[in-house]
Amino acid sequence: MFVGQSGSRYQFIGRLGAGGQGSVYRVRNSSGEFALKWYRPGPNAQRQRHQIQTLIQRGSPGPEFIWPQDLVSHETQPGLGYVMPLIDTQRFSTINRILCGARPQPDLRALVLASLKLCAALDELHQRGYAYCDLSSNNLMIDTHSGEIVLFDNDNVVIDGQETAVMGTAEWMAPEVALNHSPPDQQSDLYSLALLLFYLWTWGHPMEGRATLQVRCWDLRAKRRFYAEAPVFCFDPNDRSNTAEGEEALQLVVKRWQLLCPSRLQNAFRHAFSAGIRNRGKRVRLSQWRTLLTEMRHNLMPCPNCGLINLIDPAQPPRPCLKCAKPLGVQLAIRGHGTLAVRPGVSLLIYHLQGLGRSGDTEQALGQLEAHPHAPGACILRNITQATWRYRVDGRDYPIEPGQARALLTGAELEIQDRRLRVTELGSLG
Amino acid sequence: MPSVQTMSSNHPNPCLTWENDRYVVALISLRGERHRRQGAPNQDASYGCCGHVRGLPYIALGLADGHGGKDYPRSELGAQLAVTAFGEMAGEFAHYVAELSQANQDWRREASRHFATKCGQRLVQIWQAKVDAHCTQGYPSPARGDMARRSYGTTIAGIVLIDDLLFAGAIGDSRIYQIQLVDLETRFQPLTEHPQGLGLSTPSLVSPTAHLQWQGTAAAQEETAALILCTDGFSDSFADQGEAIAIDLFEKTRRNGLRWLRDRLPRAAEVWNREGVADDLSLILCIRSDLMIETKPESVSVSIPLTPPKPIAPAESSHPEIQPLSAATISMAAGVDMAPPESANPRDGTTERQTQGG
Repeated sequence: MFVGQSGSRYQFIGRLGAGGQGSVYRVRNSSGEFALKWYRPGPNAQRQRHQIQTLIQRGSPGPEFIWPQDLVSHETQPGLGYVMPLIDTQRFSTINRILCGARPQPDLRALVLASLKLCAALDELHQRGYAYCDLSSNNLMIDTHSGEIVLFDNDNVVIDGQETAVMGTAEWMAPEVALNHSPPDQQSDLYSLALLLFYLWTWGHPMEGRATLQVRCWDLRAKRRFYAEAPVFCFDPNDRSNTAEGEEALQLVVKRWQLLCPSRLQNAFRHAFSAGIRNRGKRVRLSQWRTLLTEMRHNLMPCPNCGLINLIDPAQPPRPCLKCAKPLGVQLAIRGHGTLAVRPGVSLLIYHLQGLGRSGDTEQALGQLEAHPHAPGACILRNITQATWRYRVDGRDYPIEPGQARALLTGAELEIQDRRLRVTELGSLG
Repeated sequence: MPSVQTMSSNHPNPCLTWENDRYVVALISLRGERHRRQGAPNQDASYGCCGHVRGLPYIALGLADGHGGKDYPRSELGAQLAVTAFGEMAGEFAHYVAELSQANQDWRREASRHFATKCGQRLVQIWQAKVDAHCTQGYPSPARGDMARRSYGTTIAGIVLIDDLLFAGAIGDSRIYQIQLVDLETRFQPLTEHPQGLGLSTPSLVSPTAHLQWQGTAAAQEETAALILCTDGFSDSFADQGEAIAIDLFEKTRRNGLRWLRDRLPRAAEVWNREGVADDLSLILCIRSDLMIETKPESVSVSIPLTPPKPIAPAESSHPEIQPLSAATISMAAGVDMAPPESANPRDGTTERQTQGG
């Protein structure tokens, strides 16, 4: 029987798994079933105890975190453990299980949502003054249907700046951490997040390409060299020494990079894995990831022919459906804060005027895009606010009164609440 | 240098055994009844190796199941190359762990993750290099390119035992099970997930995304009483994937010793094969030495269990000539005696009642 610091007693039900740090058991008390992580005896036990106690006292940053709830000991055996919520493994899956085909792949909607929720969860964690310290593909589970996520192994989370018991996992560490120049912190979390997002989208590691394929033994020296001392992004436009392109073993990574990642996402990765490698201040910030992924969420659309969810890249000329190769019928985009691909059934939101903010509902609709009643393939924008908008096209100025709609034409300009938005063709945004 | 045991069919006694102060190990690989009738070779291969890297002892055990059929004419070679590739990968991994454990107190975590994420990729890389080299040598005929590599199609499953951890990994439908002793209960649970689908949909080393299909996991050795690795020729022959047979083998081997197992396993495996799916059958049993009970001379004469759940072909079997067994056949299979090999008639005497005493 395990006894919690809270006074609760937990009865052993079964073993859920074991790994490097210890074992995880299913346990029960009067209020339900939980998971209990029991540590293997080690030199870090005291520090671990203190760390977990702090986490329990300060509370969970959000429902995505499988957060420690109760510190436990055993009635007869020495040692330390903690109780946390059980993960619904019928629903959530590790990335590795998705990659090896044991679980279905998430569609693009689930992938975007999972990425967004990961960034939002980490943002919340950082806002509360924590650093995750060990962000990796091993700590994330995804509901491949809905895109919901859970982050586990949270016992390594620390107050930012405090000493931590773990340094992370070699492949997922920021170079300054791997090289022992700095302990893991919020800045290194940003680097690990970029690695993890890249892995989610391409199923490959950004620093693994032609050069790393030549590694014949992944020992400490190799890991130090390729992940910390001299990492080269596999899609680095200026250094092709470690390119993934043309490598048989990395075909899938290249294909996913080309077909699934829109240009802005590719640019964010290029930035994160060039200037952001060495310069902590140049890493892509959580707000930037959230903005980018929010825009991507707004540009998801089902193929009118086969129903597959496609992601429209406003910076690219129109592309056909990924599955049936039929045209998606999207030609134009509204460019404000972020870019909205113009197609019937979607809304112009406050977000498109002002971007993400911590206050106010940025998802509130201002206008509705509808199919043009007379011109097949064209769209009209209906003003669903109480204010009058201005619409300029070909040098002429028109009002859009509340409830009124106007056809969207290339080169047109919208003025809504003193903000200007432009209508452009896909691919002309640069 | 590690000592190495590899094995394919037609071995005089197809059961190989060895023991050290931590584990006793038995490996067997039999040509399936179906392949025997067709004159095809055993397309399974198995492998066992123990050695030291930087003074750190490790054990590697693996087995592979060549796909067979006209699309994979060299799959028995592919399987052989896969188990040797696994051995090489295990050696490299042991080297990494040895290095890591000296440099990092938290090495277990790092090692577990390394095994799950890197070792599959490395295994595929080594195997592909071996296959390409084999093609280049022109045996049995010159062939190059992807199609040539494809002809070596195989699965792989293996474990590496280092320090107090065990690492298990697989690509394809060969299985790895763990036996645990928890209070009075003996638990049998898979260490790797069984992929969905049968036949050609099975993940394979020839798949372009083979490295992604690697299922690697780590567990504590102290929580593991025994490990079972088997190809589908074993697991598909039983309605319970061989759980009862494996637990029984474990229990009786503990009591009667490794020699007992070596003497009786070949005949038992033949019966399972004949009454089961008749596919090539490979099995590795690895038991913790400290759980072995001192061998008593009289116990060696115990005839066996090895019959419990009835060998049965799965209802959804993709093999056209394999059908679920009739009740009569099942009944016959249940009565098969695993008598000592010197018996003139293995079906004499016998029965389960006798075996329960072991």
